[in-house]
Amino acid sequence: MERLWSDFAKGIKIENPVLRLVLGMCPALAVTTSAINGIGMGLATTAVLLMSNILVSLLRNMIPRKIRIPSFIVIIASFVTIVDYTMAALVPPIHQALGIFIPLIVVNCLILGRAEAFASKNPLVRSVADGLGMGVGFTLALTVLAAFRELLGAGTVFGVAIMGTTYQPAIMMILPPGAFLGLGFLMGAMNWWDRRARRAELKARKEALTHG
Amino acid sequence: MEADSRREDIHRLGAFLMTVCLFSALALAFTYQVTAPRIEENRAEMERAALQRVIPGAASFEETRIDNGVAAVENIYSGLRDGVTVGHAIRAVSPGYAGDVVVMVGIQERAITTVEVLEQTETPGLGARITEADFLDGFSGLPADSTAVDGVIDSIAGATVSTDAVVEAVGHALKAHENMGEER
Amino acid sequence: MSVEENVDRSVLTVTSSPHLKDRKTTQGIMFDVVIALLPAVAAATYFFGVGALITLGTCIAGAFIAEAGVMWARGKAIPLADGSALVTGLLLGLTLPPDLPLWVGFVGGAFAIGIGKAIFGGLGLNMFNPALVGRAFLVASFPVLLTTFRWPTDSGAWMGPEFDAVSTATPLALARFDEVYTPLIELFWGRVGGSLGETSAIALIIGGLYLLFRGIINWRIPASYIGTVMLLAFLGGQDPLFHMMAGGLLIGAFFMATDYVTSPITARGKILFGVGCGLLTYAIRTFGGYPEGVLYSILFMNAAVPLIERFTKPRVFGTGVKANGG
Repeated sequence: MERLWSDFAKGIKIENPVLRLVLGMCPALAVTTSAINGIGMGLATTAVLLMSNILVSLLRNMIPRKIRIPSFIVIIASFVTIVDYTMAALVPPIHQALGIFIPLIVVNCLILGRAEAFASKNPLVRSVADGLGMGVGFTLALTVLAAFRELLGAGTVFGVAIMGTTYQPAIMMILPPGAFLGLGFLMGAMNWWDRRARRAELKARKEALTHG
Repeated sequence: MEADSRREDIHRLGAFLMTVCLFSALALAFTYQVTAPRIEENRAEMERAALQRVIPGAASFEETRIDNGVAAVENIYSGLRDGVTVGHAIRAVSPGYAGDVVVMVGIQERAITTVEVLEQTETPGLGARITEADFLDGFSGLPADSTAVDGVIDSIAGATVSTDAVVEAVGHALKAHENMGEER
Repeated sequence: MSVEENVDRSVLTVTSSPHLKDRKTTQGIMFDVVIALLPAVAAATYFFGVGALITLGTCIAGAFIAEAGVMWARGKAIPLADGSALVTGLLLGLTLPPDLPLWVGFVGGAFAIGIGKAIFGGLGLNMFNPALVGRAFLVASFPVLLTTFRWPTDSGAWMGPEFDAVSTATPLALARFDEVYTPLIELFWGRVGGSLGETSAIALIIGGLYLLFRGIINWRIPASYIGTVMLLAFLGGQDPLFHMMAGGLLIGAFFMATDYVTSPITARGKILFGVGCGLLTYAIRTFGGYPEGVLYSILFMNAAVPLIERFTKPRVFGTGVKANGG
């Protein structure tokens, strides 16, 4: 059980796909112009990632080594198309806003990466935990980045005005340069947080040694 | 020997990959079957909603297939009420700053009712402001002749190219409307 | 007791190079740059009123506060004394149009120092000219505010913006989009629309000559930059003098392209850098979507500096090109 939890939790912080593994940069930079887009893209990717992890894990002993990559790609592409159709049918506004980036989930290396590095080597339940954790980590990173950009670039978060009417939005933040700036800040904040936690841990360990 | 086993290998791998693709195709076919009607319904609903906004008086719509002689005009719809045409909706396109701008122009009783921007990829916060009511309201009520929009629409500050694209697209639509002439 | 404590530090302290010191200091250089900018500041105040000084002040304040904040966060002493934040703020302010809301200059100054300089590790490590980074940020973020110009107040009266505040285009925009050419004499004195510090050619030339005379800047970058633009304008059938005096070419060539940190150190590199800036500026002015291209061409060439230095690296004495591949 503990191992399952760590399979899940690593995707959120210590191996966060966007902020640590630096995977899936294309959607992370391109669609994070509003918080709703960030969360929509994150959930769509999570759905594909979860399904592909499940199927790859189930078939892991059947797929011949030599053609595992093409097999993974066919599996991933099918799920992406399924998600594409489903979103067009159920949530047309978000589907329209994300546009070309839904089909482009196919080339998000996060999904192929998890299939190759995890699901093809681990049993079903652990692969589900991995897929969910990575998906949640991806969604969180995209949503935070998108909310930050939307707040500064449009003065709103999830379409709700936050900054008041006198705020002059810095349009650059919802243009491409804002994506790079925002991602840089987010990674910096993550590193800062990480280093602080590690320092506190070291200090605690030292104290335990001297007092014990 | 070596060559034989390799050939066998290729057959085996090919067969496996084909099986994967087969299942994938089946899954996609099934998904398509289930979602296609819904997607089509969404599309039609959105189109109808846009038409209803530009020709408020109409109860039903049909596409008119008349050669109007303006290349930038994609479709012309007639709005009907009790079998009588009450207005036209014209879909026209013009290149903007970052891609094509597609507008729908509603014409009722020889005047523009409303202009809607259907598709645009202009700069957010700048050119993209062509979708705002403040700007589009400037077209409402102008007479429906092809010179009506020349020089009467105030540019959005810093977004002259995007503004011009909308004005030009509306101009195309009005020209097409004129060309339809008596066929109306 | 460790060994180290028995050693006389004054003899054995090891520091990294450079070991030879020049009389020039960072403060001294920055002080000279500020002096060289004074004519432009005076011209801006004369033509656009005291509001110009307020805009400059907000930019400098933003730069100072960002510098102090960054240094505080990194637990270092506050080196405002080296004056580089002052120069960055002042240069940024001179590239902005008059009558901006006060916070715009402040945000620009803070961005110039915070993102343009501090993030790279501080003065000497930044890739791009901080003042131009600040301006690029403002142009991309608040394009409407940053492209609203007005003609100078008539007779240079010390009035607020409510007099004569007719928004207008810059001479370059007029030439490009309306084919209206501003008389050269107006450009020379600076009675035209534009950013605070770019309008008066004479003030900038005086400042530039002062820097050249004091040995603060080298002639290669300004000469090759301005020369390239004028040559291309001549070849393109336009007035070279108009291209030299309109827009931000002079302030860019004398004060921004010559920034020590973000321009090449080799002699041939400087020429190459200036020619590159000139080509891009002319190309943007003539074929681009904007009427003026000084900002982006200098930033672009800043990025090319490592490459330029690599190709123009002088041969180390004693090493040579091997003849006949042997």
